[in-house]
Amino acid sequence: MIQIESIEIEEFRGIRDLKLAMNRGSFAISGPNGSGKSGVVDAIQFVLTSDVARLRGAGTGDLTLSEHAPHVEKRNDPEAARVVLTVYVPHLKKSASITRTVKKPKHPQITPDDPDIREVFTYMAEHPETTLSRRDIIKFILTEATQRSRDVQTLLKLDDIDQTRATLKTTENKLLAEQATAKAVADSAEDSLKRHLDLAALKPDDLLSVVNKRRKTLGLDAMEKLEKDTDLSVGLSETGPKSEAGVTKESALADIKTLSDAVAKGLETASQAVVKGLLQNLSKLQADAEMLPLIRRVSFFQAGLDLVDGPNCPLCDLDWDMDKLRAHLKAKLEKSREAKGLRDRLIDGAQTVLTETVRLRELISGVARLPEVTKDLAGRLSEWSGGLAAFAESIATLDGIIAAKERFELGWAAAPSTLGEDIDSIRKAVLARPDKSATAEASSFLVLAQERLNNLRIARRNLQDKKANATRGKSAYRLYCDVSEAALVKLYHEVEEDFAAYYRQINQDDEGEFKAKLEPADGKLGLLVDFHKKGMFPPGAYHSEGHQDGMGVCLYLALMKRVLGNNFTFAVLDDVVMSVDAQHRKQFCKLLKTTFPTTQFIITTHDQVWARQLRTEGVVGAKSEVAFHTWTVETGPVLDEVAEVWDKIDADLTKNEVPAAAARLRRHLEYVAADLADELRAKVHYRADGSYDMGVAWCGDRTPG
Amino acid sequence: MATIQDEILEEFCQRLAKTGEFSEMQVNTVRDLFAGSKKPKATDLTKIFSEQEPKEKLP
Repeated sequence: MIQIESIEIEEFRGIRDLKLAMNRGSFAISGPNGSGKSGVVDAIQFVLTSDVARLRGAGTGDLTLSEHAPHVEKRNDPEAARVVLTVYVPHLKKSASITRTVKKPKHPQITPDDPDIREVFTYMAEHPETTLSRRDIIKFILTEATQRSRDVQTLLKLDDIDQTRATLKTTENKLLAEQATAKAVADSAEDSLKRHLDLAALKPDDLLSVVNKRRKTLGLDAMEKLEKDTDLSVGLSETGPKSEAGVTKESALADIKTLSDAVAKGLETASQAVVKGLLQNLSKLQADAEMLPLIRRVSFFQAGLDLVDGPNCPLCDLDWDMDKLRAHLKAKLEKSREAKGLRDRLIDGAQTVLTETVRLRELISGVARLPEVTKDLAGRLSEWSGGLAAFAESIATLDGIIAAKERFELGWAAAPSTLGEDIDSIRKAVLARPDKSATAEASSFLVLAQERLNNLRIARRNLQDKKANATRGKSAYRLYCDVSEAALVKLYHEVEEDFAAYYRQINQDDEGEFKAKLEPADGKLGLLVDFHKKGMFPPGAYHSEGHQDGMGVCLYLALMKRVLGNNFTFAVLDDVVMSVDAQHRKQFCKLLKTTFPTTQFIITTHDQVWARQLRTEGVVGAKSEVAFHTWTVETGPVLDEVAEVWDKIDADLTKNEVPAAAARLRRHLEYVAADLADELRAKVHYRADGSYDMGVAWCGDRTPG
Repeated sequence: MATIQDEILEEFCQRLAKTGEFSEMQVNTVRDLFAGSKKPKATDLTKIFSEQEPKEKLP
């Protein structure tokens, strides 16, 4: 996505003032330990991501960006700590710069401040993996399978796949809960119609029989068929005004009786067993103070258990007897799983109560709408129904269920204390209604029947919709699981092939048939590698440290190719392949050049030989290298830009410094001779100190073996 | 080159469409939601899966 043109670093980490022209090509920074190389890596990471990984992680508890990112002399002046990066964006064919200060790390200055350039820097900020140290890279190889899975998933940005999966599961559960509520509403609407028609079951023939009896009274045609849009009251407007509509006396009494019976039977009777279970589970939850925190820490304990692979606790770094720690965490995990089961039972129980509240509110609504209900009474019923609705909403969450414990104990229905008297008074008032004429009664009956039939149709349509929604939720979750799992298996297979191919390229002399296997399973990512055709083993089993180092960088490159694809135009390799020998590093150079020809690598190393190799193998150009010779607090790194040796010799001679030019020429020829001797497999006299001067190397070169 | 997330999203949306349970509008909205910068929430998805096709189209 970007290639660095230049970087300016001021008062940042160990650097006072440094400008490096990287010219969009690979660039080497060499120097002994403590010479300030890592300051450049930190600066690149900071300017791109607003963070410095070295100031975070284990053992960095007291370190902060604002206090410790500025140079020590400027520790109270974060404004002075500033990094400017000028980059080229190949796909936009544009140059841009980003400036970030430690004082305002989240507010970089971007030039030009165009949306496409902002998008590029946002993308880079989301990909800190472009800057990884040897320590970061080797962990992909040597870590334990669960941690590798986690690290690789983080690198590949796959952690959001798990999150999406969880979100789709929550969606499915929500839609199922909505379906359950819709069913309760449809059941209530059906009960309401059955009450009005005085039918035990809603069969079309029985319904038509009851309706046609009233239609006959009104002189209307009998209905022969009940269809989805049948209007039971059709023709009524021709026989008289619809002002006769309203709940008939008979229906009103039936509705009052239903509510009255429910009260007499006990409003919570249907949910009694469920509420009893709820209360028992709530008591369990409260009796054990650890239970509730445990519910929220299931994944935490699982992670902790998976991380136990060394002599220290992965969280607090204290020494532990590992077997005891594992047993301790297992016990916690077991208990937290028990706690999670408890939570699921509580949520299920609350859903049952929730559907009961829907039914009860339907009964209240049937009575509250009667004309005999006084304003005061209507207010009380409305308040009761509203309270039930709020209660139902509150018990949709675990915290709401816990908070509602007292209400479950006292009776969740929370009926008004005057309910019995209120129902009696309404019943009396309805009974006192003057009898209507048979035709008026029949007319009202048909209007109400049609109204309740409509309600039932709407409720059933709603239920049908909710069922379809729940089916969609279920399908979406299942499909996402299938698709993501298949994609991950494919992805790991691709990474595995690239990784093995890169490693074979570096080690073609001794491991030309190297194979590797990445095995994803149950949140783990196993890595097995071939060891000289003797079988597949974990990388740390038999391979040398140098080979493991090589594996680390190969797996990193394979992952980056998969993560960034064509956007893999830039990476910082901080002190990688340090344990790899010179011959294999030469192959590594070829790998970088041939497989990643468009990627700019910023490579730091404390090894002068490796720095020189990078140049002679053509990974970096002569003017794309700096050597940090020394470092002091006052000056920061003291650098020597590596120019062409002949330019330097010319410069010496111009100043008439012939001895200096001669020494430089000799050193250069010694290096060239050594390199030639290596290429020619020349025979030279053995020297235990490895100090081959020009004469020795040159003699060897003349007699190739 | 598409990211793994892009590939999963595309395949996921294609499979959703094939089920016949989702309208074209729902599939497209899911695609837009997942492709956006914000992480999808269950409430967003619940809303999308609850959107019904118009029962009757006006003349």
